[in-house]
Amino acid sequence: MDFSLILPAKYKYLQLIRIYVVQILENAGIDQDIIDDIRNIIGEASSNVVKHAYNNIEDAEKTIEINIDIKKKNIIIEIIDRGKGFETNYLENLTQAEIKKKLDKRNKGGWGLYLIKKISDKVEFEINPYEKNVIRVYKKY
Amino acid sequence: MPNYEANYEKIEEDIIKINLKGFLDAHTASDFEDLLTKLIDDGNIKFLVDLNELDYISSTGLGVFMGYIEQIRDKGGDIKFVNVPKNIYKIFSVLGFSTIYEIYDKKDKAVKNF
Repeated sequence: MDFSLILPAKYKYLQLIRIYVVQILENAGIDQDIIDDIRNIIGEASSNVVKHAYNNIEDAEKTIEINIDIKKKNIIIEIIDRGKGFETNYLENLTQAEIKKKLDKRNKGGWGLYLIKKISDKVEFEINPYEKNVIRVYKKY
Repeated sequence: MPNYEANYEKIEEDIIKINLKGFLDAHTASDFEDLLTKLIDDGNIKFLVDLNELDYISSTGLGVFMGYIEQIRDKGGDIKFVNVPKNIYKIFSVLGFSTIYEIYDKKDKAVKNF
C-alpha cells in the first residue's frame, strides 16, 4: 500500500503530518509501538526539513513530501525536500562518544537524526541539493 | 487532546508543577520556552514536569529542558519528571536524557527528592 502527502514546509503543519501518518498506520493494523517509532521518525525528519533544509524560512513554495509504503514485513518511509541538503556521513560520525559529548554539553539541538537512526532498521540518503533530497527509512513490523 | 497546553501550580512552598498537554514540537516549543523563562525570571528553580497528558514530544521539545537544566541546578534547583508515558520515556532513554533527569512514577516521591 502506497500513501503520499505533500504540504508546505511549515512548522504549523508538523502535527498534521504526524496525524496523517498515524491514521494510515492504525488503519493498516500496525502495532502501537511501531506506530510510535514511525511517528517519531517522521516528526524528526520533517522538523529537520523546515529547520535545516529550508533554513527556517517558511515559504509557501517550499514543500515537504512524505511517502509511506507498507510492504509485507517492512514499512518504507520517505521524507523528501528540495532544500540545501546535508553531508550524508553525518550519521556515521555520530558515534557513542560524540553523543556522550553532546549530552555532557547539554546540547539543546542536533538530536533528530540520531533518534531516527536509533529507532529505525535502516536509513538511506539521496542528496541532490535544491533538486531532491530523500531520507528513506525502513522499519520492520 | 489539545494541540498544546501548559499550566502550572505551586505544590509546595518552592516547587512548581508544570502540566504539559498535547504535543511539544518545533511549532510549540517556543511557547513553552517563554513560560519556563518567565517562571525562572520570577525566581523559581524547582520544577516537577507532569507529562501524563502529553501525547508527543520531539527532540526540539526535549531540548527546551536541556537549555535550562544547568542554570537551574547551579542555583540549587532541578527539573524532575513524573507520569512519563511509555512512548515518551523511550525517547528519553534512547537519547540518553534519562541519565540527566530524574524520572518518577509518583508525584510524592519526586517532591521528597528535591
